[in-house]
Amino acid sequence: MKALCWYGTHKVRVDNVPDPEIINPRDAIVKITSTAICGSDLHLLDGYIPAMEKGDILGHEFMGEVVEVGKGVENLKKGDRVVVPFTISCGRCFYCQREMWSLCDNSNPNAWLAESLYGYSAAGLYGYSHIYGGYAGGQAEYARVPFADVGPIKIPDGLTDEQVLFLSDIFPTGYMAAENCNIQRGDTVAVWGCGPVGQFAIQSAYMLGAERVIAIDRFPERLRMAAEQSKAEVFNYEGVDVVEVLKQMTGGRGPDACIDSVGLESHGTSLDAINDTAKQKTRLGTDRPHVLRQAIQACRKGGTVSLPGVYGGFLDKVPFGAAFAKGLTFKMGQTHVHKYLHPLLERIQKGDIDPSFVITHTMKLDDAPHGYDIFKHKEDNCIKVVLKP
Amino acid sequence: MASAQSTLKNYQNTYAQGDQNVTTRNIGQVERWLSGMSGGVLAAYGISRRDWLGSGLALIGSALFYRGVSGHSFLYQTLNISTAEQQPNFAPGIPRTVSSIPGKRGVRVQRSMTVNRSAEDLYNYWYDIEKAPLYMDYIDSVLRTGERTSHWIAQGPMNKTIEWNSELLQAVPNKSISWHVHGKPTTANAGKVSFDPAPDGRGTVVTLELDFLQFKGALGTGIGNLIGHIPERQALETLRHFKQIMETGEIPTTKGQATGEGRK
Repeated sequence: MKALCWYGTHKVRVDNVPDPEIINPRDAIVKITSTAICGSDLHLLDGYIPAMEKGDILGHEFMGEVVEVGKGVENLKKGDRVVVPFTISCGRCFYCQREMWSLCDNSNPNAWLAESLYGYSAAGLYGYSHIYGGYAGGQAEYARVPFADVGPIKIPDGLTDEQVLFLSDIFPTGYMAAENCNIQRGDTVAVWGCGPVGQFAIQSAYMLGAERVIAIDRFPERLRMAAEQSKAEVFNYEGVDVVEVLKQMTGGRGPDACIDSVGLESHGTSLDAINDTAKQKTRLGTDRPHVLRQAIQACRKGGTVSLPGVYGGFLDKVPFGAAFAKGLTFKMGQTHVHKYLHPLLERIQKGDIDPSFVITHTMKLDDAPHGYDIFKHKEDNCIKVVLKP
Repeated sequence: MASAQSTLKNYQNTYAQGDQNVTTRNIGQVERWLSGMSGGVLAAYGISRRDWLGSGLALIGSALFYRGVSGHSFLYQTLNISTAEQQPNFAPGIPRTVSSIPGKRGVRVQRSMTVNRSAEDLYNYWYDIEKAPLYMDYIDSVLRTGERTSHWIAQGPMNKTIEWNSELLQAVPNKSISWHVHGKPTTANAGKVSFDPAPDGRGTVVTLELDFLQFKGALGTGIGNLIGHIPERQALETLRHFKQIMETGEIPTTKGQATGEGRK
């Protein structure tokens, strides 16, 4: 089959690879009908995530048709149309049972490696380096889906791929980021980053009762989408004191919650941002927390800073004194996708939201390297690329 | 029966407590600071280089850093030197994951893991010893040969097949199973698995203790201490696979999956 494989920093290409097979009894094989490129895939392309091996298949947002099930899977059969969550979860450990699906104890075959880095291993992920299990990803024609009796959600007729594909990752990610803000009546939520996750965070914040959502970015097409499609109040951060602007927009109080949907490759032009970039390029620091710093400074006292990610290593010079003095709450982590699949599918069916609005480009899997290119460089007003195998 | 009981008593007396442990402090305070800081800087530099030389430097740096943080030097221990100020031992009761069997007879490792199943289910599965290869991937097969005995087969170095017999010392239903081995196993010479309740519905804490006698006398040397961490890893991965089988019915793997460089 064809698959998009990683061969080094800035080197991805579509190769012919063996078809996946059932390996464990609870596996299933899915023939992929639509798959997408995620912002976090760019961290892999740019070489920021260690433990990648040449030939690894990328991709963790995918859906399609079940073509084979292992003998341990009873709730799925050949022909079922499913969306597959990007976190691989066993369903039976302490964490899965308490709906903390992305913290599964049992789905990472390389648990020892994650433990050496983070002390404990969380769930395995599709196509996201050997720290997370080294599972073959979904930018391909077929994928092997472990624990298929627990993960995939069946999609009823009457919905297009484009409407439900993002249940796999970015819609639940934006939604969980907003839910983590513990939104109360009258709240103002500030969202940094108007990429796809930011867009879903904005719309989810409104769904969860926020009175105002303020969105921040520098690319006109992203700000336009945030304003016109997601109904946020937007501004461009270039040349502007973001913390002060947010203070004045909220009557001197500051936003009640701040969502950082930018993560470790944040861009900025201030002194601290330039310092971060210099450190990162010389490999002295690993992550660039420019946006995180602003979120901490801007947030109102007693408010919540919500981090859908992604951070990987160590942060330098984070204003923790300010965070402490203001009594902030931090909520973060990989998305517990399984928890949100059914409630969010219902919202799509009811017409509360049509997730396909984020898609700007659709192309064949063969053109995936081009898709990565325009997505990374934000060319041609690219916001989200969907691939068709 | 009598011999099993006296063997058990012997085991309890001889192996009940490790004496010297590998974390005895033998480096002085100032030296620890110097070692830790220089090691940290060297390791950071080594990692930032992102090449093979950098990895080597990072390893050396990490060793220096560990030496500073732990206050323990394998080299000093081998040479029987200590530059440490005399200090009382403040925490004698904490679990030691790697320690020495009394009389320098080898390495004892101990690890625990919490499994979301009842002690009864876990005890019964472990007691059914023929299932051991399912969670011990270093064992080929186990055959029950008597009420208290079993025959084990594994692959040794150079693809030689190694066989030995294991004898049950004591089995307390739903609480613990202890055993020792006759012959030269590729794994532990004696061991004990215990099942204790975890708090409030979290399942059972499974503790695995393994004695490796083939490193006889080696623990006093630098090499022995380093090697001691391999049995520790074996105990950890055995427990992890046991947990995965008991909770999910399978062991997660990517062996045989598709990649851009063929099936791996």
